[in-house]
Amino acid sequence: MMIIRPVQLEDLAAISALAAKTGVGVTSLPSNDERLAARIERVLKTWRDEATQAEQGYLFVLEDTEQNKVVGISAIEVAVGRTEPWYNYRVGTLVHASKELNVYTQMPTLFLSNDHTGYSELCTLFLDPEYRHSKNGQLLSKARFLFMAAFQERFADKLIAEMRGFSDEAGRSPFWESLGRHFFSIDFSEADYLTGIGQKSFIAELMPKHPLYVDFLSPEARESIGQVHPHTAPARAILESEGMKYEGYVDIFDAGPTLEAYVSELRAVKQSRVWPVVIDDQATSTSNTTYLLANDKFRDYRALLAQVSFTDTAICLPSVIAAALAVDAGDTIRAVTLFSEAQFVKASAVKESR
Amino acid sequence: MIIMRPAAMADLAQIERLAEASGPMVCTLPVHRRNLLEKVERSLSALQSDVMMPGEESYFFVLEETTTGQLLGTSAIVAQAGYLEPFYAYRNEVIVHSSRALKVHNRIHALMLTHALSDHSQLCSFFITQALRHTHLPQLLSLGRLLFIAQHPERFSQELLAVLPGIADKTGRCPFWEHVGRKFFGIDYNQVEYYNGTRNKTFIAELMPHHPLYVPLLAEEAQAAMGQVHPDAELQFDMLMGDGFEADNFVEIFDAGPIVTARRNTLYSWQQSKVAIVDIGMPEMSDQQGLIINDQLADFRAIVAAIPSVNIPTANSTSLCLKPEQAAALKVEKGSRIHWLPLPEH
Repeated sequence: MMIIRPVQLEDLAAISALAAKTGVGVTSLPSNDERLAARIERVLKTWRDEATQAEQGYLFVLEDTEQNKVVGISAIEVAVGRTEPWYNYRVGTLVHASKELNVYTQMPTLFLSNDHTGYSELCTLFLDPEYRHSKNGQLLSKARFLFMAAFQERFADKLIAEMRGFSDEAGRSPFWESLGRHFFSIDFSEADYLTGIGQKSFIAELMPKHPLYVDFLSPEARESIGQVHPHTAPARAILESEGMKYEGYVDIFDAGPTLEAYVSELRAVKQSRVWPVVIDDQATSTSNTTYLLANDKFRDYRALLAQVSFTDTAICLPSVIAAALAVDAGDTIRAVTLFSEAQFVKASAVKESR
Repeated sequence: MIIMRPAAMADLAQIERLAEASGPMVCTLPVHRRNLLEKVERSLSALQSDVMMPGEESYFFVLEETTTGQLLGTSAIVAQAGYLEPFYAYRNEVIVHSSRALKVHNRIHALMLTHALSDHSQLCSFFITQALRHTHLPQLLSLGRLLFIAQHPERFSQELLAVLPGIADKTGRCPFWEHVGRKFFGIDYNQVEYYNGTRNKTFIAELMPHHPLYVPLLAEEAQAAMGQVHPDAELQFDMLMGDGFEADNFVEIFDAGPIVTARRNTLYSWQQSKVAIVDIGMPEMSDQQGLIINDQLADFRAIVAAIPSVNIPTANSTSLCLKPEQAAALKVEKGSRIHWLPLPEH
């Protein structure tokens, strides 16, 4: 059975093994054991209610209970940019016009900004390639939304997710080559790594601060603004189906898009409902709708996917699922369909057409 | 005899022909009758006014062959480059992006739009007939202005500037314009320079990028053109640099041609020019050529002539002996005050 639970100290070795597999581009999972251990400490401190707001974060693992193996991680930061600046480029427009000369030009312009300071952030999403099936990726990513639905008051009003930007097979980012390289004189992978291990002051020292007219960048760089890396496209699709949108903010190194949403507007937050639990080993689900279920226990959080049935007043769980969720009869479960209506219709339409 | 004098209304037709001959390169000499007429009018007005400090005045000069009355060139001074409207230039700034932790130290050039030169007096509208380029007459027409400034300092700023045309080929394609200005204006280089010379500057404020331009992001050929003078203007450039103007700090906003600047009291022409009292005679001449001006305004005259041997070495000479035809050309007589400058070797 695949379950989502908070990270524990004992998971360090497994997470370190996962970190070694991520390659360039998953910034917040550096292959650096000291930093990983410190990260785990910090989130455990958050769960103990001992962390300051600037420190707070949550880290979840996906565990294969049969193999007793941690195979995925996902995380939320509560408030970014509170100790060090959080940088983006905002893609804006400057209009240059002269009626006298009958000239009108719209110039897309990149403005360096710290606008997302204080927002909550989805991050550190990684699933072992061998487990990329059976909706494991959906579970790993979306369990966080359900957690936020249960504990909204612990998060900011707005949520962001930075998506990895475009780079080619050789690992070259055209945006970096056209812009960042002139100022940083280091490879994109090194800049990325340094940011991931928290050495960010070099950004303030080296970044061009003045607004940049996009027209001065190479055509490849221009095209990559707001584009995700091909491998990241599925993750983008998932987040957009959950209500997150690109609003014109991109990463300063590779121009990958930042998706954002009001937490209160997230699908999982709006549509999830809390149900009293009834244990029923005979119950079978009447439809083949997959639900994302979670126990809403802050410290002993559990989430998983299941096809279950409901009465008018309760959710009917087989005992093995109840046990995995650490709940008994009379406790409550938060449930939401794994997919939004539109996604579900699309998915079944695809099935029928085969 | 060839003299430099202020332009008169009767000169207008010839001035227009010279404007045409100068081509699009000299944007302060546009082929635009009304504009040229106003330049002459303003100059006449300035020369007749009492001026205590630089303001809206401008001064327009011509080079005339007195026996035929043919005009051979033009030059001008604007008392304040940005009197009514700002004078736009790009300042060539260096921004250091440095991180000790990463052992990175980059000097990044950025072009910053600036109005800082607005208070400078501006030398402009220089054009001389092609055939005369290897004589001393370009110096007469160009440096004559600097002596005029030295003679009437209250009318001008302590700081001077001149805009030299940048790189453009014969078809009018200007590499800096193609990669910078055109993105914002969408029009040809010759067209924008023409507007620059004939219209008020509102269109610049509306269309130019106001944020600094990072030079490393510009196309190679645009970068290469920055601060480079058009080959046809090298004569002009060399004369001013030879007198002590500095380049490399500012460039023109459309073609990135060099804008040369100087504090006037550091210039050779300012430091080496001398005041003398006129004597009339037939002195023995040295090989040294000199630029000589009178101290008049509306009757300003300047000539190039060989300097009498007795005035070399030039220290401590309080009088200068002129031949009668020279005195006539300069509109001076015995006892008049003149200002003269030994001209450096060509």
